Amino acid sequence: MCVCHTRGFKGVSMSIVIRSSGISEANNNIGYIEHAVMAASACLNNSTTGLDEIDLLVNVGNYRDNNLCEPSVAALIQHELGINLNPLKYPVQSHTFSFDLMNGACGMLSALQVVHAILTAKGLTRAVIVSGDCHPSTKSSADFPIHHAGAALLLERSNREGFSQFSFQTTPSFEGQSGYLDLETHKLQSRYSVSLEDSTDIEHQFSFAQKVIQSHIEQHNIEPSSTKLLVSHHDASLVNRLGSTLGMTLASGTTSLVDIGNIHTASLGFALHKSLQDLEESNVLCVSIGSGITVGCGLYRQMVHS
Amino acid sequence: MTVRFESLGLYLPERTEATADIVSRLKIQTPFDLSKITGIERRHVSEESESTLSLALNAARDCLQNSKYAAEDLDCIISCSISRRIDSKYHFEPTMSILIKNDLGAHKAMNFDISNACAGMLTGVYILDSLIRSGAVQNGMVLSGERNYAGSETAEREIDSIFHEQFASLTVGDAATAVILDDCGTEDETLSMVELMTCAEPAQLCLGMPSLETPGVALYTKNIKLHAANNLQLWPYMAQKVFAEVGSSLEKEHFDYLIPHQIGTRFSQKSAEVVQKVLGFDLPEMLHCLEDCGNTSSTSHFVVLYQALQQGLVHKGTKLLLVPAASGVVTGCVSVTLGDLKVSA
Repeated sequence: MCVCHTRGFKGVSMSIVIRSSGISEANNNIGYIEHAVMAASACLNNSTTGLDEIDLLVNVGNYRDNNLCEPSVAALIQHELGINLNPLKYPVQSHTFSFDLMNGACGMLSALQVVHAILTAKGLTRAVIVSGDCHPSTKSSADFPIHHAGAALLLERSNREGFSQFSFQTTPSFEGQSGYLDLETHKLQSRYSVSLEDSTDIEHQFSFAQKVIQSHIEQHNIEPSSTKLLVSHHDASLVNRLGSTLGMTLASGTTSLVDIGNIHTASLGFALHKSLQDLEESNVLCVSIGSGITVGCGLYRQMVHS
Repeated sequence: MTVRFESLGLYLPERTEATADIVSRLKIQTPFDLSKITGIERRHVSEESESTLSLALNAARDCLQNSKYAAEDLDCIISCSISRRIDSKYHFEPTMSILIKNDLGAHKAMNFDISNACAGMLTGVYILDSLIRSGAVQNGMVLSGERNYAGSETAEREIDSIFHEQFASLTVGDAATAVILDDCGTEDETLSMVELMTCAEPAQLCLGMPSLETPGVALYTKNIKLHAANNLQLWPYMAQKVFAEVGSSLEKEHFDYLIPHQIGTRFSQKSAEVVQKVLGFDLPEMLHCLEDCGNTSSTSHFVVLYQALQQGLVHKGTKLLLVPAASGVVTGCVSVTLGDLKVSA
């Protein structure tokens, strides 16, 4: 007979709450790892959490310094932050596990779902998610439309407010942004080169996003008039049309993104950082729209005061 | 709820390349016998026409053939390849998982990619196990196609000293694996522990990125520092801790076999010696696929498992401990008791 050694909580509806957030403002003269470390440091400095109390570190950044493919960028960020370096030499309360999760502009929302699952299933307490991108040269490049930036969230398991339900849908054939390194084209410049293409049909993107959000609203009995909409996208026309079509007020972070421009995977973290007041005042439906087309939804429920 | 390995898939490219031939093409004479140190005689190598995506799709289709699930039944697809390569292009976007999902017709599956060096597949298993046990999904597929022999070709062109940082790349082979997990496990067919840890002090000792010397991707490894005894002590420390936390121990678990990451026979032997010294415990017999496959990166544990099932070495009821050793560095314990798993001949 086998004994199952799984930890965690069963039969209890858990959520994850944003305990703190931090950003590294757009600056194309530095690389992603530096941005991520600054954002994570700001996030942790805004909290009472010690470096030795982090169970998970997830990086969702897509375009990285030097087109690095190994180890995970998360491990390098963990190294720079000084988290769980070697528990034999420097004992810790939590033995951090880190990895990269990639889902383009929807990476942060996917990571929130994954963190929710891991903290719930394993009974762990807290996670840090870092996000952002850079041109592989870590310098500004005319053909790279994404601003170098970083955003980090500190999440804790909760049985009250926060994220608990997510949904993602994709179109059956690919459409959207492709980003790749072509070794044949760039040869000895490959470490510092990347190419981006975009096949997005704006109208199709809008109608698909509207359909997915509507479906999430109905499935989870969300009341649009009392829920704010946070769309982590920099296209003013797209976010305004979604807000008015769905009859929802936009969260303040959405407007901030329109002003900042394209910060790709850092968008949702940035928008949440700028929407902390909204999160305290009302439920916020977070929506990410990315390559695929992929549309993800996650409701952040405010604390229910008893 | 009990999670299990429901089915497995494997794809190995037909072409092989012998270690002796690779070593003979180096610009330098090596004073050591690479085959003898690593146990690697040959490895499978992709054709030019094969991509990370096509390798992964072959493993996914084999996995579905061995499964009760059809593609459209899958709730989740997690791709874990280090090399997201199609033709000469390394893709950061879109995800491999969305291309796999669309090709298989797994339209209801949520999808994302994981990157965690050679711990990729086990990281995918860690995440999918949690998604199932939290109730987010009921099943899913974790898969990886690795076309990393390209790194060995870069090393072959660039190694000009016996202390060169690309020596470890000469051990790499191509492969693809897939595993479906679901919530239909029992006491006798279970994924009973998935614990992973990243100790980041040595994170910069193994770096993969495009070379500046010749066109290609290269892996730079400071082998001596990375495999120093103090780093090898991290695994016994963690194993002792995670089993103690559930009131058990490595010894009490009575594993039939241990599947290590396939770095080399001498590395496995050195690791076992460190465990014996630290814990006073002889590790269970280790299973390898080194001789014919080399180090297949994130797929290594599942290549070994699949081949052990084909050979009848493991079967229903066999209890295995899967141990990653990935740059980061990532270590951990994955305990699985097998059900009646079908594999292709």
